[in-house]
Amino acid sequence: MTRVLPRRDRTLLLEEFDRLWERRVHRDGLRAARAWYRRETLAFATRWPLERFRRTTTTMGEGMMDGIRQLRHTVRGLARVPGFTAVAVATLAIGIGANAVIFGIVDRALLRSLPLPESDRVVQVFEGWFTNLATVEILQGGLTTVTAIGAANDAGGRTLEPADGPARRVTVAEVSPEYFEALGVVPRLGRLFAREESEPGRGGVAVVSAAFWRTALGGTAGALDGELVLDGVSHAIVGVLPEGFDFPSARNDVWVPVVMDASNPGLHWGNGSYSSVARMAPGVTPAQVLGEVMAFEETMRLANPLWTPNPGFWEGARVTPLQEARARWVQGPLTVLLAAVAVVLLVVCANVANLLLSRGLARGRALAVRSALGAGGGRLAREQLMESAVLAMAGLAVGLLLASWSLSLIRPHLPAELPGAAQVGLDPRVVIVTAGIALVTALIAGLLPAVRAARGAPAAALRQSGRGGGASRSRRRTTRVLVAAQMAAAVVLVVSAGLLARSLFALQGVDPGFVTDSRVTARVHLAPGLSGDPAARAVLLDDLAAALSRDPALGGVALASTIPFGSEDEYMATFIPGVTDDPNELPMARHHRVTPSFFEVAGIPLLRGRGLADTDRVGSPLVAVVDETFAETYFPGEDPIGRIVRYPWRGAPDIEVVGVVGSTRHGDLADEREATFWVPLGQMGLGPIGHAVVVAEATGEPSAALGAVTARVRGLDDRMAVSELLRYEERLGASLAGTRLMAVLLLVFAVTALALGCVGVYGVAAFSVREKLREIGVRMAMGASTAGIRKEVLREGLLLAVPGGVLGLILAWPATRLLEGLLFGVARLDPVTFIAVPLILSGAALLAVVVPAHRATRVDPAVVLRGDG
Amino acid sequence: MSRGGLGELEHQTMLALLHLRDDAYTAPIVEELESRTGRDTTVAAVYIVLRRLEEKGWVESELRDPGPEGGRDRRYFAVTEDGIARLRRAREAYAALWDGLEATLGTGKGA
Repeated sequence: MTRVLPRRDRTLLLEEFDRLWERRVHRDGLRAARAWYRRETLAFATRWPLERFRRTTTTMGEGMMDGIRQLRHTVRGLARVPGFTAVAVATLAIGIGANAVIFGIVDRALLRSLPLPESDRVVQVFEGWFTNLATVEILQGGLTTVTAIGAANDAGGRTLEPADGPARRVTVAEVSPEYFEALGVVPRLGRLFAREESEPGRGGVAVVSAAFWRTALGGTAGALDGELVLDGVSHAIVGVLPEGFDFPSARNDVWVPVVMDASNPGLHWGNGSYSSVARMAPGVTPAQVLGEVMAFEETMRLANPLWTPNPGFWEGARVTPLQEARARWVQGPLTVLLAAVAVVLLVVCANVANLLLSRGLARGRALAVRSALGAGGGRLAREQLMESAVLAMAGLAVGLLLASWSLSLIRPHLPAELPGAAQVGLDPRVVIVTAGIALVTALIAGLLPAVRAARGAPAAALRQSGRGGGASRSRRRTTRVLVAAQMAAAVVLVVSAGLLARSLFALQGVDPGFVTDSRVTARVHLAPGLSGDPAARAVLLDDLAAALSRDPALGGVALASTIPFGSEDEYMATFIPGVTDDPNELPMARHHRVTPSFFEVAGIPLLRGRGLADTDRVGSPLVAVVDETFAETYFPGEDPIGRIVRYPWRGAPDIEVVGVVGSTRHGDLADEREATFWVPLGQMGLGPIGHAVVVAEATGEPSAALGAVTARVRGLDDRMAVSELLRYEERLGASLAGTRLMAVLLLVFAVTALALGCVGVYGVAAFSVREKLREIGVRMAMGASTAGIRKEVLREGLLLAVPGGVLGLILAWPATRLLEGLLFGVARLDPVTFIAVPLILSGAALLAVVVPAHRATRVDPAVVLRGDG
Repeated sequence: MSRGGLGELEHQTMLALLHLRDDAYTAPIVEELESRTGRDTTVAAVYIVLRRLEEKGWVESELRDPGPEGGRDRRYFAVTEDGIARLRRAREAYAALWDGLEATLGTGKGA
């Protein structure tokens, strides 16, 4: 019995049962009394636990009802001050929205594991290096630490001839069948490649991206019966990859099998343009894979039929988890952005805390009355936190809207190489994290006001608000500290944005070494069937140049295999007799094949000797023009004219240097100039690249010129696809896209932080003026000038901004270290930025106090002193 | 089981408390109920009702020396003013409902 009795009255009840037992025995006899006792025990055993359950659930329910009541109360309270609520919610929304955007990007690029099965087992072998197929083939046969190792090259353009409509360019990656195996990807439809499909003479199959399948193939299962004609070669479509599959790049439309042809050592060993990916066996570490790979170094060195690399040529090789390898280059910029939004959020917290404090003060009287009537400090603090939580949730809702809108703006500008760029969005994961951020924001912003509410001295508040003004000294101090902190954070961001903006300007000011004004460019994919016939190709190129030259919309016209800031590069290891004989030390030079008019059309100056001529054709002596950098690097202090260069393969003929032209930048304005040599297109042909690039001067509108290029190409042969119709400026601009995006985002964050900081300064100044109305009134009555009063308010505003500004400059010193890798032509501690920012800050702060200062001078002493002010 | 509702056993228990005056602790309350209603009731049921009435503020309890009887402290219950008001309201409600039903149901005593 004892155990079933309620704890509170256990002994009391036992005693009562004793009495009742005696009476029962006396009245009804022992048997009946026992039955009674059993009944009572059972009753307590069953009914009391039920009762206890009812009591707890009622309490919980009441707690919930209480919460809902309080919530309703809070919402109603906020609705009564729409101005305050709107400002607070907008502020929070900006901070929360910015964080949602950047977190969404960072999550996809850095945090989320790759969308592959057991993705932690997928590694990049030789991270940061490209390798040849021979290496991959030998590793395939030898590695025991991996279950599959495959190769893929970077996406390249091919001409697709659809059954209907004009030819167009598609982006094609060549991958070995084991590449898909290593990734573990499962096709959405159909199959991937069988191992034997990379054998010479096989192939003829292709898989396509889900996006290509939907847009170009109708998105039906019937697509699997179709074929793709790429550069004149038919490929059966065997599979569709899953949505968003972006290996090796998000740009790919089509994947075809590589050809593993050991009988062609020039390609097998000489084409080092592949990256290799492996799937580690369960329980294996990247270090173990690396160890095993390195054991093949000597084998590989001696097996190379083209040349013998130096011992230790794999020194520094790395095996890295694929996710890490893909994200490495974006880590720096993303860290900067993440830090920047975190700073914005802190500014937002400080700002909202300040708003809440002012509101707390405005409500001071009401709170004080309630406090005096016995509302506990805890309850008032809870109310305050509830209020900031409600504001944060509203801020979350608006912030997410803001974020989704900003993401739709930003997404097209995200670099294609950013892992997961296409999928960046507000998925549940991002929303949940953002909600968490919002809650933390509510807590941080609401904490100070809550503590203050809990500690509030009712008597003082009643007295003060009775007089209609006068915050406590400590509150004023808190507010000032918060404003200073905001200003400091804003300064750090403004400095960072300033440095990046200056980098951008510096980059835009870099002379690329050629003229881009009214120059247009386009890629022309030659008609299929010409790849095996250099003579026919040469005729076609001549016809193309002639056709384009005839168009009145085009001035000078030139053709090239590759151009500076084009989408493809060609490098050539170059023998320079008398400079180096060691095949391992061959200089790599940029290599362009161009028509003679190229230098004139692109405005590249001829410095010495002659340029290329129409007479430099197949059959005439081989010639090249080198750029200034090439000449200075390999023929320092000598005359390069008449010197010989040679391609690296055995029996390659001599090429005579006949001229020197000015150096150009090639793909990145921030890069150093690279040694370059130019050879005649008519003599060397297009080489492995199956398309020509047109560069032409527009005589009128660039768009008309681009239209003319398309029309003339189609007029010549409508099986030729034209792509990348771009003004040359656009190509240069595109190379700055990453830097520009970073600068714009940081600038937006900086301006936001600064604006919020100024709101803070304004708030404090306005409050201070209101507080001192009587004092100002008295002084004006005593004859103080309005100019003097105005100056004083302005000075006070500035003084408010200065400590924060100084602190910000001090903090910016170490903070800009994060930016170091992103800057160009500007020092991390750039004096111009570090001097300009305090000036901007002072200007902004002055602007913020203009209104309060003006209001101060409008004080009517009579009104104020009567006490109605 | 709403806050203002008065259950039958609650109603009866409060009336029993009033009858018992100063001697209202659990055992006599149970006996009082049994003797007045002629119905068996368990200590558990009465105890739970008392706790509920306490929660509602219609009954209060205190630990007291049992006086000349001797023994340990007992928990004595008493109806509060709120409780009495509640009983009055209940009686008025019943009276109003009973009004005019004497002919149908008899007077209710010794019928």
